[in-house]
Amino acid sequence: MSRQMQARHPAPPEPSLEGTFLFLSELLESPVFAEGTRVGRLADLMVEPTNDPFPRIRALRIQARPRGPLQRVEWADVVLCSPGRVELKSLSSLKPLIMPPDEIPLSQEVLDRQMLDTNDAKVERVNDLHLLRARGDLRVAHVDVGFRGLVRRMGWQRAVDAIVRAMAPGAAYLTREQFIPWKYVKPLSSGASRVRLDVARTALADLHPADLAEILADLDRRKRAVLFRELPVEAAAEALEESTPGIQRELIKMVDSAKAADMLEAMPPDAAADLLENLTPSESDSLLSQMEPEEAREVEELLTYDEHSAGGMMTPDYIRLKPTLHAGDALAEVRRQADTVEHLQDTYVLSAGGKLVGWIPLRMLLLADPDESIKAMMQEHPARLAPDDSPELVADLAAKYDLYSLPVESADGRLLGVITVDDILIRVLRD
Amino acid sequence: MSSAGIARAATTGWRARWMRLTAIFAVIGPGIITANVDNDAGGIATYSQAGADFGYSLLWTLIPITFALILVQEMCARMGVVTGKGLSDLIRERFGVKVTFWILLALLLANLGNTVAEFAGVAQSLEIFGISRFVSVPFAAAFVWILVVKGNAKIVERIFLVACVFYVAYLISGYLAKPDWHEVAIGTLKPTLQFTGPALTMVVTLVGTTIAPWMQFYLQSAVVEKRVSIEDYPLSRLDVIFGCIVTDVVAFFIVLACGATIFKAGGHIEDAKDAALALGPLAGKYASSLFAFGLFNASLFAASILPLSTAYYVCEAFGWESGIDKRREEAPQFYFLYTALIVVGAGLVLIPGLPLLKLMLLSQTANGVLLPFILVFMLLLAQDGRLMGQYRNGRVLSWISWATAAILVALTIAMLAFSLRDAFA
Repeated sequence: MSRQMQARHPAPPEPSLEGTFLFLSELLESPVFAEGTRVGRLADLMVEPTNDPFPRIRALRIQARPRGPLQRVEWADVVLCSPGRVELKSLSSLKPLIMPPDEIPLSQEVLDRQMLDTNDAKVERVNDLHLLRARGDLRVAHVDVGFRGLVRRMGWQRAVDAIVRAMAPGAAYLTREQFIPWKYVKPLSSGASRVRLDVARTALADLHPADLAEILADLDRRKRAVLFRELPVEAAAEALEESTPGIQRELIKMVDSAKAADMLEAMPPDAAADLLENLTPSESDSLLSQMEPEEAREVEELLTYDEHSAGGMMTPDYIRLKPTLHAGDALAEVRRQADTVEHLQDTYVLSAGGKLVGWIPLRMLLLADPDESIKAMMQEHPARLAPDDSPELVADLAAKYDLYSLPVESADGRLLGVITVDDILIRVLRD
Repeated sequence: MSSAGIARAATTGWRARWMRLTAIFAVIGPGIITANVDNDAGGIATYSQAGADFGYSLLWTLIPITFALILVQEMCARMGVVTGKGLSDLIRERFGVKVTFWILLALLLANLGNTVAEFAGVAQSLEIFGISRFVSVPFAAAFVWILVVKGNAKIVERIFLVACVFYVAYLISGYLAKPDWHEVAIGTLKPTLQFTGPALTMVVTLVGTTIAPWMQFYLQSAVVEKRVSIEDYPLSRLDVIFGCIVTDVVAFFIVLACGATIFKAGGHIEDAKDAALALGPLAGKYASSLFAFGLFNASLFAASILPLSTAYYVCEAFGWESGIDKRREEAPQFYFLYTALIVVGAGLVLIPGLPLLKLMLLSQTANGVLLPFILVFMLLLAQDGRLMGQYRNGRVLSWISWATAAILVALTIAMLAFSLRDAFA
């Protein structure tokens, strides 16, 4: 469309622009005109955070003069918004700046910042934003995290494109844009009141806890706090369990102690004890005092053992069976206890006094005749441990007998807890 | 109280003590390591020359230099703790892509030059012990690369802390040179300055080598990596202050060793190797060997840190994956930069007939051009209330910082002028 036509028909939507893409970096700093005079330059675009995959630009921020105050223009008052020229309806379109708490200023809080790609579970830095013109609206389509976005921001895209085209016409650089759809993007602003996490919250809760832990580690402290505080207790506890001790310590201090205690309750007792080991005694005591007494007692008991011993590695949660049961009831019992017990591969048979009398792998229970008695099926566990046995011995025995779990007994034969193979693996990998 | 509770209370005293110790080790390191890397091959050469040419008369300058160093480094550490971000990260977010690009390009070039200087230091120091540079430099480069890429971060940091201890070599070497302590005291406490070209150049160079741009990036990243929390910041600040003092104590003894011997004998030296050789007949074989060993330790140490930290903050600013805990396919840019800096840095030292001295001068110039910008950006960031909240620079600190920065900038510009004049003279 020619310039003349634009001048005669300035009203949006501009038909030829419909459906075209442009970049935020091209728009920013463009001169802004109203009633034929220049009123300033474009400083920022305000986006409304909705569940819309392509959220609408709601308003512009205009800088009247260098270092002067910012002003606001609603999108309805914008006649034209193109690279190099922004036109407003009238001079009275310029309003004093307001900051609705639910709007995101794209340049100030997204461009150049870190954000979360919830699809790939990665933290990326935003080089540019890809905008779409649709039915008179301007919408955010993608976030550009690619090298080409960097080149564009430097103002070298034309030159670099020409060079690359001349040297290697088939280069991936020319065709492969690294765009992330906005719906997968989670901007992590630092201002407490301006946190808008609800949009992508469900996406986050679906991530694997190990991925979530890695994301938390990649973020800087403030964003880590923002994200962690917003997680539901269950997800937070899982991510906490997967994190390294240094980050665990930082994260648990970021939430109020009541919530921290809830998270500890949601964790397996051995993991909770490991975490508390890394806090100062006064910190860990205050958290323990806020936990449910039953859970706190379990964790406290584990804390009495040296971290580098069998006692420090065990969990008090394991499947307990009575010798009087039959295989069928025993399986029902496994299902009932599975809520609180993570490790189901082995079941332990205890006497009324809590002494270990036998051991049955789940596989045996599954394959057995439902009427077979537990007493007849159970075997002696080949590797029974004392609380002060060394982690090396634990690992050696687990490897020697191909075990998923090993029982730890007190001097008088009571079963104190069970060490599971995942905890042995972590210990072996760490040392 | 349950039996478990009683058992726990019994271990609490021991645990409390242990926790306090681990808390200290969880915080210290960055300050001490940064400060010691600062006494690298270039630094040692400068201090040696200061002693050899001016005796004890410039010792007093180390006191204001220490204050300026503490002022700048403390700010970096504080920004790292409060924001949890590296300096290049903050500059990118606050000042945009273009500024960041040019700053990091200059930094990359300066650090390449510095890396060349470190490998040259390795070559020179081991040549004193009769080892050819064609053996020592490739070996050192491979050692550095493998140490960082294959070793785990904890072990690497411990090795670095041990390397810090070896700086004691300079203290002993300074003592063996038998300085006249009375004269030393006068030189340290009584500021005197000859207003001659060489003396002024020397002062300016001393400042320039002590407060280098890359240090600010390295220290801040190291503090962030350590995940020091706000409550632990006082410990971290002690680490920084202690490190700065240690740097200048080592510098002091290098000046001392050369002042007591080479200056008294009326000799002249060009670099650190000359200093080590000149010490032999004047202060004995041990002083000379210790000096050379110190140079080797310092060069290798700095060569391990410079390329790594450079790769790290370039990637950080541009949002590329970085860190030695990432696999090579995950962080290609990081490993490329890191490897290239080492290969090019070590390779240049081995090219016969290459004007190494000019190259190092060039890197020093890049350092000098960069420092004013870095200082201004740092001060703007550190006094930004939105970023730093209650931990921003207060009014008084701001004044002192800007005044110090102004003096540093003026001195740096003077140094540039001097070195350009020397280069073309």
